[in-house]
Amino acid sequence: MKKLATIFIALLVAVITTFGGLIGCNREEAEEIDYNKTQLYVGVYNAGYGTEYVKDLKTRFEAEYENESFEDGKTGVQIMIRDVEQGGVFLGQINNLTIPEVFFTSNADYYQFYDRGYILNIDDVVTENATAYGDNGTIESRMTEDAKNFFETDDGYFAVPYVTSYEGIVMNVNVWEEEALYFAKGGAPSEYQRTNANCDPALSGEWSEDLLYFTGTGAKSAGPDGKYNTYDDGQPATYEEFLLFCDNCYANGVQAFHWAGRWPQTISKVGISMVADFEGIDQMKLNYTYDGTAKDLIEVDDSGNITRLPEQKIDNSNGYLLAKQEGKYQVLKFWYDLLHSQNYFDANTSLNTKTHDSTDATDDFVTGGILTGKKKIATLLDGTWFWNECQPAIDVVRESTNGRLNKDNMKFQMMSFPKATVDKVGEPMTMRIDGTSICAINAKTPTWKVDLAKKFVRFAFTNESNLKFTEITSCLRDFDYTAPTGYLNNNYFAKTLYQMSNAADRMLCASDNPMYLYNAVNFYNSEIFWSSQVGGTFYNVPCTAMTKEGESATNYFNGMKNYRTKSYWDTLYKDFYYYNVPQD
Amino acid sequence: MINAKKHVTMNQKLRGDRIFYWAFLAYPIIHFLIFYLYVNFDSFVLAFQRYDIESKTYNFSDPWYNFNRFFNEFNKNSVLIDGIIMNFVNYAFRLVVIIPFTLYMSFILYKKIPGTDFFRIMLYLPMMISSTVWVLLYEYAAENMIPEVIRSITGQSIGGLLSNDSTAMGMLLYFQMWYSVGGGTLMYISAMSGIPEEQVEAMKMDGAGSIREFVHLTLPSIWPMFMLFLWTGVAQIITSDMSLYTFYGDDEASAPITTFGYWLSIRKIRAAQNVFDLPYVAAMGMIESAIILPLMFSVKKILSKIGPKTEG
Repeated sequence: MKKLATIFIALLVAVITTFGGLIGCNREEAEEIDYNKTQLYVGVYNAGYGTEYVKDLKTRFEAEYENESFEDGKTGVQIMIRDVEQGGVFLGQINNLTIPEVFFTSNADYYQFYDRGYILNIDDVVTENATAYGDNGTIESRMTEDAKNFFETDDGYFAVPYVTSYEGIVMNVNVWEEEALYFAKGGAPSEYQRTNANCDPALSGEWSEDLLYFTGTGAKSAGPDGKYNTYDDGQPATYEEFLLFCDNCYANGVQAFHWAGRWPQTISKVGISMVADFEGIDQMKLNYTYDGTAKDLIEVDDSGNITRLPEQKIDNSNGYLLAKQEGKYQVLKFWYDLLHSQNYFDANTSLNTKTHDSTDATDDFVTGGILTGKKKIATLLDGTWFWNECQPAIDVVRESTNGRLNKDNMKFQMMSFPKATVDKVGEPMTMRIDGTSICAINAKTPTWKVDLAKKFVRFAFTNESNLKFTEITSCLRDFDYTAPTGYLNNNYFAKTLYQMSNAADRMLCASDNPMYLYNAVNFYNSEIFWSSQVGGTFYNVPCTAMTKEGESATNYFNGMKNYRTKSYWDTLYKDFYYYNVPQD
Repeated sequence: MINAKKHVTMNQKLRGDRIFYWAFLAYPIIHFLIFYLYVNFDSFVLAFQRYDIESKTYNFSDPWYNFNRFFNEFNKNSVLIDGIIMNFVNYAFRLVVIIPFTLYMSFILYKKIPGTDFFRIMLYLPMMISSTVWVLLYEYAAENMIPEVIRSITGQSIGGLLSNDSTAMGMLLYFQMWYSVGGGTLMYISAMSGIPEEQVEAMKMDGAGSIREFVHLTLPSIWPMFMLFLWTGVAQIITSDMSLYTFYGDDEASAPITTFGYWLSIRKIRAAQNVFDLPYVAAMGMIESAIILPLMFSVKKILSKIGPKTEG
């Protein structure tokens, strides 16, 4: 009896601990197969952007072909949606899978899928004018030059990018308004400096700190774009103003910025976006093309004094010199100043709790100042997928405020990056776009079904589908497509993102240089981008080096140069020197 | 006529036995030929090859490239030296704490002290439940529960114990111990159960206490198994990732400590995504084997020489 009781208790504990972890799972029931229709399996990486946009495609595509037959004895199409892994994992699986036939995934190394023959040629789809769907123009005609160069291989197109991923800073607009965090017209130091030859406004006698912030009367400052009445009015225009903004938050009891403790690389990724904004397209693109002239290489001594280096022709053999780009130093300095003071963020969660993940950070940010015990947070380091991912948190807020606050009046927007110096204010923002989202057709798709799969891909990228994608996910696609006036008025996040994107110079972080194509992960991985060797210590996350090891921006920057030596570069990339290195 | 018939029947039976015998052996032999010989031979050859971009094939244009690349990266990265030290710390902990504790627990359970069944269940529990579940539970306890308890008692925030550099090592070592003691105990108890009762009784009659019984009878009796544990443990000196992959995934940057085994695993996973880097992965595997094999055989030789002998 005693033995039986022991076994029973042991089994009970085992079952509770094993299945207890699954209680939160809420799997949707799989759709039943309709044997009167032809099934097309579509795989979606269900993270960030969700699956709603594919469900919308399913509804419209099934309706479009409800009376058409693709196999004997069947009429119509049934789109079966399946989850797929993120690109890196899916690359290792797809060769053994016959379904999905079409897939959308992120973090994918496009060239590896193509080079191994895992995906089908869709040249005809990309260059076809899909008038049948009421569309006017080809997919190719809407792609940026950057995207065309990257996605068009020697054998044609094999995939198209399905989303523009961009990492940056998200603002809680409600908190900014309630706490008067915007800068005021005439009060923002950068505005005074721009019109008064960089003079310190505090010394002018006609300026006081009372003028700094917008309190509801008058107007907001011009922001980083230097223009009034645009999407970035009142936002910090320079790094210096961002620090003032953080001080203002601290004075008002607001946390200035927040990120998920599990991902210290968040700052690294936002940092790369900021480097791109500092450098501009021509200089930043060198980090992917390794073909051009580097114009802002610097050296920094131990005291932080900068020496400018002469212009340097960059090719595959000397790409390591790009570690000396000024933007990298300026951004490291910016983050060092912010992280050095622990008044601006919550070290307990963001530095010291690895279970604090993206969902927790989003919840903290959205519910801050609303739910009991939650502090107001002004900004979150995140990406363009934020609005789509924050909906559960908004639902919690709606319920706890009896509907007073809801998704229609909770306003969030991607922030324009402040500029490093006043003289850069007014320059267009450079948006660094991740080149790892792909939509493609599995090479194992049965021949008779390829035409249907191609029809689906073409349908997924019509102007209407692009707009629907933005409407549903609040994210953009790296295509030229125009939203009709007022189309996004009900979605503040999407509207401001659309405005920011249209005003910005967009840059795809990819190139057709074989050195990039065969080593893409080395160039888009933030840990490799920020690798640094300070003395005998190796770092790859500036946030950790600065907060836990106390490394300065100067040491970190010089460590990046030390890490990328000529011999190290030769070992990794010598095979690719044939491409653009002049032969003696 | 009868004899001829009998002869035919015998031949048929023999043939049938042979067919059965070869059918029985065919699967493991084919498995061995493909997954052991072919795969390892292929990896061995691949380690000396490079991927040619133009022809999209592997060739022997620079046979030592992958090895040079590894040592270049090794020299560059101070994390690796620290990682190897971590691996040795981990092995030392296993040797000094986990193995003696496992032996101690096994002996106690073998001697059937009061509460044996309870201890047995508690020790086996980690083996009965998925490691992912344990990792999740352990992670939340270390990162949220314990810090919260400490905060409520002392009023001080200490942060997560796995996120904190000064506590992460201890927490990971403790997890190793907690997770591996059950499996080891199970094996040792099985071996101890095979000790003849007469020998135990004889020792008791000679007035031997528990310690003497353990040192002079139990340990020598289970020495081959003990040696096997030590020996296989040596193989993990370099390759063990101390459960870092389970806790931190391939997110190297979040791990406050890195072992060489963990670093190597991540490099392999990343490189395996790229046709250009596959030979590099193969070279890594060869280097790993080149370090481990001599070490394992040396330890085996030493252990077989120093093994204790049973009394009587």
